[in-house]
Amino acid sequence: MEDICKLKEDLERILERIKELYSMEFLTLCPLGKEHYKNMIIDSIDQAYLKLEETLNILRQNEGKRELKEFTLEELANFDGRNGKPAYVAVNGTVYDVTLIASWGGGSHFGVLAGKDVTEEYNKCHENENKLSKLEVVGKLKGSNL
Amino acid sequence: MKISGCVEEIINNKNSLSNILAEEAITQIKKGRVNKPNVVWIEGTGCSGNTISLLNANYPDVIYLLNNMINLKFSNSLMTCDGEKAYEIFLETIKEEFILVVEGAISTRENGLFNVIASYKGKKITALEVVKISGYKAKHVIAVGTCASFGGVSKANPNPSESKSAKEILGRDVINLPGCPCHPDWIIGTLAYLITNDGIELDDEGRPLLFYGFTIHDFCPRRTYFNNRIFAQNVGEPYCMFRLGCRGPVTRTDCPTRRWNSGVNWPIGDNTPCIGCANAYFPDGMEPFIRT
Ligand code: HEM
Ligand code: SF4
Repeated sequence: MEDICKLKEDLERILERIKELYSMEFLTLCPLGKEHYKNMIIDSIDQAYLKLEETLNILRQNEGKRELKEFTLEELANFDGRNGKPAYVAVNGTVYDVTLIASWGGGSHFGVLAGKDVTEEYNKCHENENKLSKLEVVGKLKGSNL
Repeated sequence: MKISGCVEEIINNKNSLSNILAEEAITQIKKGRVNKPNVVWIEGTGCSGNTISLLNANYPDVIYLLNNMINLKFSNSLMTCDGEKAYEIFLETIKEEFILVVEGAISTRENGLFNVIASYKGKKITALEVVKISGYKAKHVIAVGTCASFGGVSKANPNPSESKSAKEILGRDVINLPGCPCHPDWIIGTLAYLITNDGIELDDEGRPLLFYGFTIHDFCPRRTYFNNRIFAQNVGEPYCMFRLGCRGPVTRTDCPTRRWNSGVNWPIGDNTPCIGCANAYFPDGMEPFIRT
């Protein structure tokens, strides 16, 4: 996490620098000067490129490790989309957020209600369709071996 | 997507679209380029709501429709003839070219005996039989209302009458005009379009793109509330009713611009969520209508 914070500061610094260079390049009247600033901008972009790569590497390493929040079925039942609560559903052990998915108004979707394990309904209605990839994962069901 | 052609027409013409189509049809009829089509209107298992809705038409109104645009040869509710005589007119009409309009689902239980619509020479005539003998011959079949289009309320669980949609019964191309009830402009507009053209552009559920090309959510006046996540917590609040179970995002009609009862208002304009009455999954799949 510390690495990420440092990288963030570095990136912000470089961005600031690039902005400055852009204005210098715009304001100067000397063609050689313009060329000089352009080169400096390219150098800064190179630096930013390296920093971005580092950032991505760190994010990728952490991806697998991120702890998924565990829900029991009783806890899940709380997230049924009623009274302003979020709407979550579980499919194959993973808990997804459907609160703002357009076809899930009020946490209900073609007769299916949120706050439950809906694996069976999902397989019945969306067999061979991938509707889950665009949903945000919020956790997993307790006892599932994910 | 094919709908792009309709976009302008729908947005610019709002209420007057069916009027324009009707005027065009009548001009063509007067010039003798096309004939007034014979129309047979069969009521199956339903509530006659679509007939009542049609009577409420005003751009153009129903008298204008009947006098100038179509020959309504048979209609259980509207024709003056009754009994065997009425049925004979039906039998005569289907010998020539005609457009079949089906209202209500078709009950199939006990060979259709749950919905008898006529009695002829001592025999009970079921809606199932009538739709079958006329459905294959008709130039176009128009299913008016959600029951005729998809089964709707008549087919809702547990479906005691074993109702089916017109398409399920006939297995041929059917123009579906869902809605509970169907808006009079959609009926008249579609009829007018069919008088002047050979067919009408449909989506994959058989609905004319002209009237069903967009979802309610696409043109809802409360859409900015949705985008900014400002949701009503109870019916009556003037914000987006998504969290109360609004079905606008999955329901394709032009209600936000066309509105109902002569364009006076519409459900969301009157603070109740869309219940998806024109959706193929209505009513079972659209429940709960209000989630609190
Ligand atoms: C009774 C069973 C179900 C039926 C009949 C059904 C039907 C549908 C239909 C018709 C759509 C397209 C909606 C549209 O017009 O945009 C859809 C989309 C979708 N369904 Fe289902 N569904 C069922 C169960 C489920 C379950 C259990 C899940 C669990 C996660 C699910 C997740 C989704 C998602 C994520 C979409 C995409 C929504 C979007 O793109 O906005 N469905 N479903
Ligand atoms: S009220 Fe319904 S149709 Fe209107 S923006 Fe909200 S969800 Fe969409």
